[in-house]
Amino acid sequence: MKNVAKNMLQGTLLETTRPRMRVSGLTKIYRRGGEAVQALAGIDLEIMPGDFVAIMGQSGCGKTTLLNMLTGVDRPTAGEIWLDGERLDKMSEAQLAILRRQRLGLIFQAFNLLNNMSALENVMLPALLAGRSAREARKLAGALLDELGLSKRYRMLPGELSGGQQQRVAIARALINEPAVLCADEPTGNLDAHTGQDILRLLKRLHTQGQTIILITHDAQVASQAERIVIMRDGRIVDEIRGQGRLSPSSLLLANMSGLDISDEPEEGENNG
Amino acid sequence: MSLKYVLLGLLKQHQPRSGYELKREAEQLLGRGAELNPGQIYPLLRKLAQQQLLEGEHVEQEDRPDKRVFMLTEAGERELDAWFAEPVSLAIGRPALFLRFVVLLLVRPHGRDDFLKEQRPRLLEFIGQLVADRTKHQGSEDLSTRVLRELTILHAEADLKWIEWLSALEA
Repeated sequence: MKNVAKNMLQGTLLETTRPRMRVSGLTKIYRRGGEAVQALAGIDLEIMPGDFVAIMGQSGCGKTTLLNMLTGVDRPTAGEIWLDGERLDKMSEAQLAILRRQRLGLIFQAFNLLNNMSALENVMLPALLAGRSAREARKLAGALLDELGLSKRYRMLPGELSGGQQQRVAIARALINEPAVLCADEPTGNLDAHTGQDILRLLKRLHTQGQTIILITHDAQVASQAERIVIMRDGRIVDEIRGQGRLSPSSLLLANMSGLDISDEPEEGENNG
Repeated sequence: MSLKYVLLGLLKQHQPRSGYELKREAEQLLGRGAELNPGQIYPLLRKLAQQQLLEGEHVEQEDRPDKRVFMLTEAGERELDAWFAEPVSLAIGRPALFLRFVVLLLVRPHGRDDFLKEQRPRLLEFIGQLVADRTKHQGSEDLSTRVLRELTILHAEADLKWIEWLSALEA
């Protein structure tokens, strides 16, 4: 009995330590006017369940290409892509479409809501497509919109909502099928600083509730809020930073007084009395 | 920038003020974490009084030790106005990160990558802490602290862009 219990425990441990997503040797080469452009040059990356990973780099570094690979929107030239033990790079277009809808949640810089459907309808749609009844879908959608502070906006069209509200509708939509991974591509790109901070706070809250999140960004302030920051340049991962070690006490963050001259020596250019 | 103009400005805002009040108000104006050494404020006040930009007055107090209070002179007001009329210097001098980089290259000619590897995590962690600090305090602080923190974040972001640029620079 002891051995059975031990095997079961090890089995459970294996479950929780298996990556949610994994890519190995991922390469993508585009042909542009006779020239080969290497957008991804052999990426190896593991995302564990519950990770909050930012993929950061300047335009052209390959981060969007990488996201397109992870979400099955585009296919690699070489390498493997795994989601919960299944290979994406071997799936058909139809299977990838279902995957995107049911097992991944996507949010974008441009929100990408359907403009002639209400907030509630936008959020319900993926649930309906996954086979839920209208009643179930409406209930789930309502609960998500309530949790995201949009309980009074069910019937509004995207055009009647602010940028921040639209992004929250998009997040609700992305979460309705309880995705394995929430993928966010520059989610604060079209938002002002203050609203962007709200959305980031929301993502952090989702993370503490257990959601695995991949966040693509060029913005250091956004990336700095993730637990892991993967830095890309020229199609490669050049560094990985595990964030937030010992925190400085807040009183020390701004304590440097250099630049403030209180000596007796007159400065260059100072008016001398 | 000199503390002199902070003191002149504080007196222009409200006077007379004692040395102790000036120290306290200056620390408030300079944002969270600012600490001024009394051993430097009082000599500065004396010097400004000698330059006739301030006047000091002795005030007798009943239940407490006598204190010295300061007021702006006309010359002091003109000095403050002249300072406002000057263009602010935009030159950054020789920041610590710059010094670290050039000296590192001196002793380790191929140290560019080392520099990037060392500084990038530090900058991202620093930015992360400041952003978390900003979220934590959500508008509940004085203006000086908020604007200083924002400036600090933006400087750190600029430093990060600079070190990325360094690594792409041809040798």
